[in-house]
Amino acid sequence: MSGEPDHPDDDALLARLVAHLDGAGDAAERAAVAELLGRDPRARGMLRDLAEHAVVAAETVGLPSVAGPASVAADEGPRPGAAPRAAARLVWPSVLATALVAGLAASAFSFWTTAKPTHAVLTAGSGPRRLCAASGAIHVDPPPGRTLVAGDLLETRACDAWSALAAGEETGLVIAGDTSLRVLRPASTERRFELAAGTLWITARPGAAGRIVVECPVAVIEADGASCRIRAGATAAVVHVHGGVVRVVRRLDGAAVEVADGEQITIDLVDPTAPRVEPQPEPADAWHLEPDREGAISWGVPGFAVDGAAAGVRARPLLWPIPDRDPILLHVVAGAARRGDGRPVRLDAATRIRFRGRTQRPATVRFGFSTQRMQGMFAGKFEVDLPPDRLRTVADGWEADLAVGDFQALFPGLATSPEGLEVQDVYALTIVDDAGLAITAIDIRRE
Amino acid sequence: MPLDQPSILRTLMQWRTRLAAAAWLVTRDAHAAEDIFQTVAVRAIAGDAAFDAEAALVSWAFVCTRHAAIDWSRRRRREAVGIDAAVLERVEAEWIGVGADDARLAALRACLEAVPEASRRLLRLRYADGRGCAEVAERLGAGLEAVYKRLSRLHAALRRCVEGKLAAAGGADR
Repeated sequence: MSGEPDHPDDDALLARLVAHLDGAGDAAERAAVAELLGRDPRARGMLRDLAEHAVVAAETVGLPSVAGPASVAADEGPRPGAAPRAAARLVWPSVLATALVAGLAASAFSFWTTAKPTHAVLTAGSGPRRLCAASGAIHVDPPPGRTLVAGDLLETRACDAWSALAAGEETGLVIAGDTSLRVLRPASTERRFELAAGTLWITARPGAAGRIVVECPVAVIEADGASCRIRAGATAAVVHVHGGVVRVVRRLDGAAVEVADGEQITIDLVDPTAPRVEPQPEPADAWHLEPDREGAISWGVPGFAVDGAAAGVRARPLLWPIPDRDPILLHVVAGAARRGDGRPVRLDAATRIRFRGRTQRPATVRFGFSTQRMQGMFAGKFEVDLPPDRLRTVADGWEADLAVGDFQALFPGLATSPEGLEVQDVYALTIVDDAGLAITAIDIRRE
Repeated sequence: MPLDQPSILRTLMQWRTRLAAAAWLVTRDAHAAEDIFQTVAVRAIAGDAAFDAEAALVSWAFVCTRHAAIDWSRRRRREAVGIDAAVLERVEAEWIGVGADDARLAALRACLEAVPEASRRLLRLRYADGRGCAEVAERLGAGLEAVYKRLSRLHAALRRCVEGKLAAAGGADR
């Protein structure tokens, strides 16, 4: 490609449009360009080309840089983030384990020796993620090694996306899917974050130095050498502590409580009574989907019983974002494996999961569940595809009665087997093809 | 008979780049434009409207995209770029008039792959990172006018490259 102008007039017009789209020019110039675009098809053709160039260029050359957002040098050098981006996603489970257990060797070294005022460094990630940098730049799927500074916002943009960070030599953070975490300016030596929504795990070595403060919409959580899980929403926050002691302050009135290892607390705007610390419930080994219970259906449309057939939950379409690829259309029913008594549901070798449902025509159905370590961090998804001839016919549809060993790990670097893990969501789906999937029952039981 | 979901999705994916480009004209943020396309696609397949033909779907998608992009900009208090709604409507109609034109977009992708590193960097800063030209100029150690000139020459070269590839493909076809 040469950079020579195509035609003097075109070149001038393009330059004018480029400046216009940058917001340049005084009121008279802007009005003149607007008037030109209104009457001149050639100018509109260039405008269309410019917009297409911008969008396709963002896809084609929009690979994130590794160095900090304020670094000019990061943009000057060979782009180390470009080629390894796909590779980074493949190796991330092992990086994650290294980061959280061993304390981040190389990346932590660069973090602590840098002169920039960084507050965390990305150590691993998977799935669609986005870093909205304080500088205004947006980095899609930021790679390990990326430093975060005050004002940076890290988002996971799908329920199976994850990102791990180091916040000090002995403390790791992991954000779950559909989570927004902003880095705040530290008050002293502590590191501060804002968890607008989603789930955050803090994992610290016992007695680790360095306080982490997490501001949620309804509570402020202070973890000093402690490990915990925080689930935050607009009106409530739930904190489970599984190491050390965490201080939780309700924003509404400043009421503060200390939550110790094995305890949990819920701060909810609808509950004005004094915050109460409770022991975490013992895990259970059975659960069944109760579609009428609030929050039980995490994806799908509750249906009605018709002609004696059981009322089911109908699949809803879900456009599944995939980095570097077109999204895939899924038709999904998903239930949150939360019991009414609040006990987590633990899987073991003898656990079986039974799905009952129907499709309007024969179709392969994918069954799966997502897990986390007991009161701990994400442990991956497990799935199995069953063609129509493996779905056992029952009165009003079909049944799939599966041992947990029948499911394959999607992220074997996290856990190769679901045994001993806590189940979070259970789901069934068809891919691309809408076969009219409806699920009438899901239950987990131990044989 | 209304379009079924696979047909809706297939059509929208064919128009993905141009719908995102329409959103970009309002937001000037390529990532927001992609998000807006996703939102519109989900609305289409979730049954917000029924479409008897692809043309109806595409028209609906452009209108929906424009409104979503304007809402996005309002929420972020983005300064208007001065492209009024009437112009946007004409641009959308012209896009619809030329069709999805996958060959042109494929040629554009091929041309972008071939740009030299310095130009890639300019495109990355301006469009992938979404920086204003003043910030791009600062990062490049160049003047603002020089950045405008470099960008416009780059766009001109891309246009010429696309036309060249399309002409060559047309000649080969014959």
